[in-house]
Amino acid sequence: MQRTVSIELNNARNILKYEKTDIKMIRKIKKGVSPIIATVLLIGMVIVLGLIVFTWMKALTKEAITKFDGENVETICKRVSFDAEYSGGGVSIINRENVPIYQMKARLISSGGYETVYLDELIKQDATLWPRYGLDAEDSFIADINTRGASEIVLIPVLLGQGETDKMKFTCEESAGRKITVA
Amino acid sequence: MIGYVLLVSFAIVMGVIVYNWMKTYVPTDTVECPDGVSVFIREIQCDTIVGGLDYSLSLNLTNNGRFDVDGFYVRVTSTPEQKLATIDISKKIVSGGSAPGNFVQLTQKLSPGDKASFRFSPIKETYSVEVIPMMFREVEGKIRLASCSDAKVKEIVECSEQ
Repeated sequence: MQRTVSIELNNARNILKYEKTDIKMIRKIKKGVSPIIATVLLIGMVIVLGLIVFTWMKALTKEAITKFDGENVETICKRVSFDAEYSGGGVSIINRENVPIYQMKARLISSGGYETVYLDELIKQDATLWPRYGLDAEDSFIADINTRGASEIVLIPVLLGQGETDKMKFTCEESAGRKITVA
Repeated sequence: MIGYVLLVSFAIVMGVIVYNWMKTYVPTDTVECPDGVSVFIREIQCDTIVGGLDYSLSLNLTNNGRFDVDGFYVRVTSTPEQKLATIDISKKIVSGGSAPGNFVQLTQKLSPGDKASFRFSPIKETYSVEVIPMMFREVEGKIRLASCSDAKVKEIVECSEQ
């Protein structure tokens, strides 16, 4: 009985010895990167890929333009209010809110479609130009314009806000505009 | 361990980016007139200036609201067809206040119940007069001008050779 146990123990030792030898052999034959280097490489690649995707996405998304101590101009556009009318070849605009209107775009609607231009482009040569710094609260603007055959004009306000580095213009949604009939 | 550190760092970075982007959509304090600001044109009179085609406009205002008024915008129309009053006459003020901008600043605040008289001269032919009260409001430590468009009052005066 004792002898049988001794033989089995010897066999087990031999097997273990051979296995250790095999592992050493395998390590010598198949050289590879250590687990630490592999982890570092993997993390590095993930970070680099993340940065690339982030930069790419940043270029695709619009830059936030803010005004009045960091409020997005998109929300400020909802507060813009002005009156406008067209009579006798001229357009009259009054800014009714405390949000300055930097510029005005005009969407000229005719039976053939529409085109959008800055109001300045429609102002006749000898008429008053749009104020350089825009229309402040309760400021008014009157000028003779060339309607280019349009039947209706949608006046769309443009606000000036602060971009990441410079001042930037932002055109409000058409819903913030005002439609006037010209024909 | 490194995985946890990275995961938490990513979460923090993403949180900061989203916070900075979203905070711009939170409305800030706006310059607004309180409800209850109101003025009333008690009397308006137009006189021809001797020896010319120009006119002198006298305007008597009463504050019938619940707040002090610091000034007002005053614009006129020249014809009945003109719907929007676009002609600013604030610079033509000769008594009752001054015109530092496109508005009349009162020499003294017009408190509720107070009356004040103003004269504008010389002005051209006028059909109607529009008055919009304004007040100075403090927003985040800055004094800003607030126009009270909701309290606009309009009166027909007809300064013309008729």
